[in-house]
Amino acid sequence: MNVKIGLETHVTLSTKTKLFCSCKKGEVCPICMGFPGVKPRVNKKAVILAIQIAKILNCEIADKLVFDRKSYFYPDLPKGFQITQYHEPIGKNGYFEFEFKGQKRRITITRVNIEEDPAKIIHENIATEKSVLIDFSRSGNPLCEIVTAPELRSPEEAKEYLLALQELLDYYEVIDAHEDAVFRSDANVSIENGERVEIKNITGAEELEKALDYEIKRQSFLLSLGKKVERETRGFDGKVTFTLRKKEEEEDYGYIQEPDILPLNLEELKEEAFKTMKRPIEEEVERIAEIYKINLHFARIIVRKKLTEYFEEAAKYFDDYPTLSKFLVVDFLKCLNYSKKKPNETIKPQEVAKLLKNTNIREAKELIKEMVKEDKTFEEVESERKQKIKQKTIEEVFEEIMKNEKVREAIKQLKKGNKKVENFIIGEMLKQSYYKFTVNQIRKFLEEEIK
Amino acid sequence: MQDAELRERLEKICSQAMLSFSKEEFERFVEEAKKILELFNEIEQLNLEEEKSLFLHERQAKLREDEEKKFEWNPFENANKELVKENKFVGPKIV
Amino acid sequence: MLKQLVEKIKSEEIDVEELVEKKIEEAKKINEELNCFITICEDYARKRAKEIKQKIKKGEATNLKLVGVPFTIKDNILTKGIRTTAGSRILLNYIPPFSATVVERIEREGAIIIGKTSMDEFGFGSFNVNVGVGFKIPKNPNDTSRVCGGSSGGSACATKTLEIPSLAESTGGSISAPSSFCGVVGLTPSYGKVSRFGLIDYASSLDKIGTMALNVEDSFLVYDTIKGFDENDETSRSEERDSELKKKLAIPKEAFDSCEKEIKEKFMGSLKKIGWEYEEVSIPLLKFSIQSYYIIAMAEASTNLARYKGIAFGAQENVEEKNFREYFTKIRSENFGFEAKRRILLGSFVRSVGYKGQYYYKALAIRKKIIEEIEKLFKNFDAFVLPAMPIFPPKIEEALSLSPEKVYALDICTIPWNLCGLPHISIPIKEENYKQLGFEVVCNRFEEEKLKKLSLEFENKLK
Repeated sequence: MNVKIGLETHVTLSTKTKLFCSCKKGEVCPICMGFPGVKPRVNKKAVILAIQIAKILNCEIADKLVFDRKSYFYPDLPKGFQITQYHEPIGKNGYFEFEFKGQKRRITITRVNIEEDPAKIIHENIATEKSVLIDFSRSGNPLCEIVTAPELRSPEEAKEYLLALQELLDYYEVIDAHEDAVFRSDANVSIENGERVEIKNITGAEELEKALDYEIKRQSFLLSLGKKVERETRGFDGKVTFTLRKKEEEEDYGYIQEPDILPLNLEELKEEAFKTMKRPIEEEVERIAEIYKINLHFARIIVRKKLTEYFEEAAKYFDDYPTLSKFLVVDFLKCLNYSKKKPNETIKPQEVAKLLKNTNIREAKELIKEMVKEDKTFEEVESERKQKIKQKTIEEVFEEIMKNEKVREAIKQLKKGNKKVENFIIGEMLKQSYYKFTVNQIRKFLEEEIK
Repeated sequence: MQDAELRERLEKICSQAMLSFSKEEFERFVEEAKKILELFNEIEQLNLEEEKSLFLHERQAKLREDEEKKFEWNPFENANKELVKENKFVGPKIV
Repeated sequence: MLKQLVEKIKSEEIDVEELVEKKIEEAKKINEELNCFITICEDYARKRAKEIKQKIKKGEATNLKLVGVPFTIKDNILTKGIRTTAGSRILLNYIPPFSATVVERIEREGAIIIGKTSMDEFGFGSFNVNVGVGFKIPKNPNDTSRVCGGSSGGSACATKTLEIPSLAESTGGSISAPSSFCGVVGLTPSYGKVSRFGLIDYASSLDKIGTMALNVEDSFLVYDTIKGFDENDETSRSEERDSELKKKLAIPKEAFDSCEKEIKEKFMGSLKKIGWEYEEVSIPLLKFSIQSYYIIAMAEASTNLARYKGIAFGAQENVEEKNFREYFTKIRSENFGFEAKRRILLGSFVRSVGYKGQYYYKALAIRKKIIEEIEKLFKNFDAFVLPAMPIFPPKIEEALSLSPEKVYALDICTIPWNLCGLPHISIPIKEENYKQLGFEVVCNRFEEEKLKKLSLEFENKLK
């Protein structure tokens, strides 16, 4: 089936204040509430971040900063118009590359523009409620709208696009990174070259896939009945899409240039934006792979998952860099994901270094779980383990060291009568039991065992 | 523009602009609008290059630095008491 | 003269509290007859007078330029804590949480606001007869059966009768027209010279705050305290330009020809008294400035008024059971006057799909061309001079019966300068009866200094 999906995704820029006023996000003032007599004041940081996003998405960047008024009536739009960029978006004709099912995909980014967030409408139950609640805390937040050409070919691909986009923008630290900062998208879907339907206001990647799945099924069903898909705008309530507006009722936004904001030449700002941008991922990857002589694949994951700083700090204390990099990518990352923590929200890099220095890899893999989950230092888990060991019997310790293949080999050798391996085994027992038992005790035990 | 076409267009604009008239008022509005549009249409004869920009002078203001400043006020002061609930504003439903 | 008044107040020769009390009483009396106030804020004024008195006694008022001067403010300029309506029922009980920058600036210099003056709803009018639902039409102080002119009619009336200055506003001529009809000096600065932060918007690229007073010197004195860049208004600009004095004036033919015979004669009489060299110049595009202005102004107004829909401020009512379209439509339709509705609708129309090119973009092109044409003319002339209005103040019933497109056309003497953002002043030609006429002087962008020089000289010669 021929499926065409285009996305318009809204991301919140990682500024301290809103787009047109000095409120910190979450607070309100007459400007972001659209009270009479107010005038907008453009946030410099927001423009810089938007320029950076345009660059990240390989767009042509505008020469001037110009805004437009997009007029329509809705309870969440305080001024009755949204200040956005229609005629001269900050970026256009770019592209975004990501991997989908092992294939490299390139999606055209038609435009990137800056606009203000409307307020939030809180529903009790859309079908039965008598009124709504309007929360203005996010009204005026600085958004970047990223619009793709209709080149996505399936709901799953659209989801992957969104996740990859989020990861990339997160890496560059241009967007809000906390839990509530999910991407909101409007999706345009058409099948078999039919009419396209717009689904508005879908939050997050999972919802996006669900909404698209449902809509495609709905459209297929219509076609199977011999009916035509109508051009319209629909909403998504988590389960189904429903009509919001038919084509005839489509809004005429009556765009005019925003007269309260004089155009600004972007030359200087572009320079500042490019200068303060994080190094592109591949450059970073090459840098640490080169300096630390580690595998490119691990280097890439470290950079993409924002573990570069963590890695480099830990590397000051543990110089087996390949082991360190593998451990971070395979084990440490798994623990972070499980505990839903960020690298700067758990144990310090030094602790990981200490862990790797003082235990074998098997133990490290075990101990790191607790260290990350409970934010325990290496000393803490070590002493706890020692306590536990102190309660172990010599049989239990023996069972533990027998997990090691080298020890099992040695025992076989010992049974055959090769006494040379005895010291090795004793050594392992001593280490594993934290010298709880004496050499003689161990020797006696071994004699019994091999019988 | 034809009379009926204009009337229909103006009705649609009323609906989009969230405005309504009584029957008599709407008639008055349409009649007067026709005359005003006649006045406006006089510019049709002018042959000028289309212009999309409207700014009269260069910007003096620098862009605002991204620093928090709290606005000390009560956002609910101008709202009717019954239209404020749980620190939010009560608004009309959407369907 | 304000300077002398301020000196007397500082030296305590005039007691500021007594002065304010006197003006409050006068204001109340005048208002009963002439309806020029929407709000008289007597408690606020008394409190301020007390504060100012303290300041004077402590010696903290020596450098302030407007100490104790009673002021009126057009009701589309926000005053914190004092009801501000823009002349509309939709803001009938609105109490602003902040003051406009211009208000802060005059209060910092010691001014004492005693009231908010009547206006056409949101500025939509030339006679101050398009008042909001339930508001009263102000009457001309020289003949109470006639209009004050608009949209700053209340300010002109109050300035004339109470002999105190006013902060007013002009989008298409709303300072010149009432100044001309009532017989006061009205100064409209270049667009951008005075901050619009805290001005309830009519048309963002055309609105300008200006001053009204009884003489030229006072109008500029007040202007000096409010002018200048404000970071809260990104369109504001502190620029000041000068140009060589050519001692030559230009009469714009297309505007002058639209004036009534008696107006032309009165004006030419005054021009002769002034004695400068003058020439009639033709600007063919000028007559299209009316269309260009109204198209742009209505388009912008239709967006600026979209915030009034019963959420968080302004007229509100029970929302239950109505969907948002029904609720917004009810609030707006019941609380906007007819002219306001008209301008919103036509403004939406001219920027709508299919019509935008022939109306809105064409209007912008005309505006640009007129600016270029006028710029060329200023190479040879210091200023345009012409009557501020083409007619004498009509009777109130007559004004109410005029069809809108005729009213719009009567703005020909003020619209071109307002469209281009040029500074201009209206100086009253002395007259005893209702046949007031303003002598209008228009200078080039940001040339307020030259305008001041010329108007002081002309005012003197017209005495």
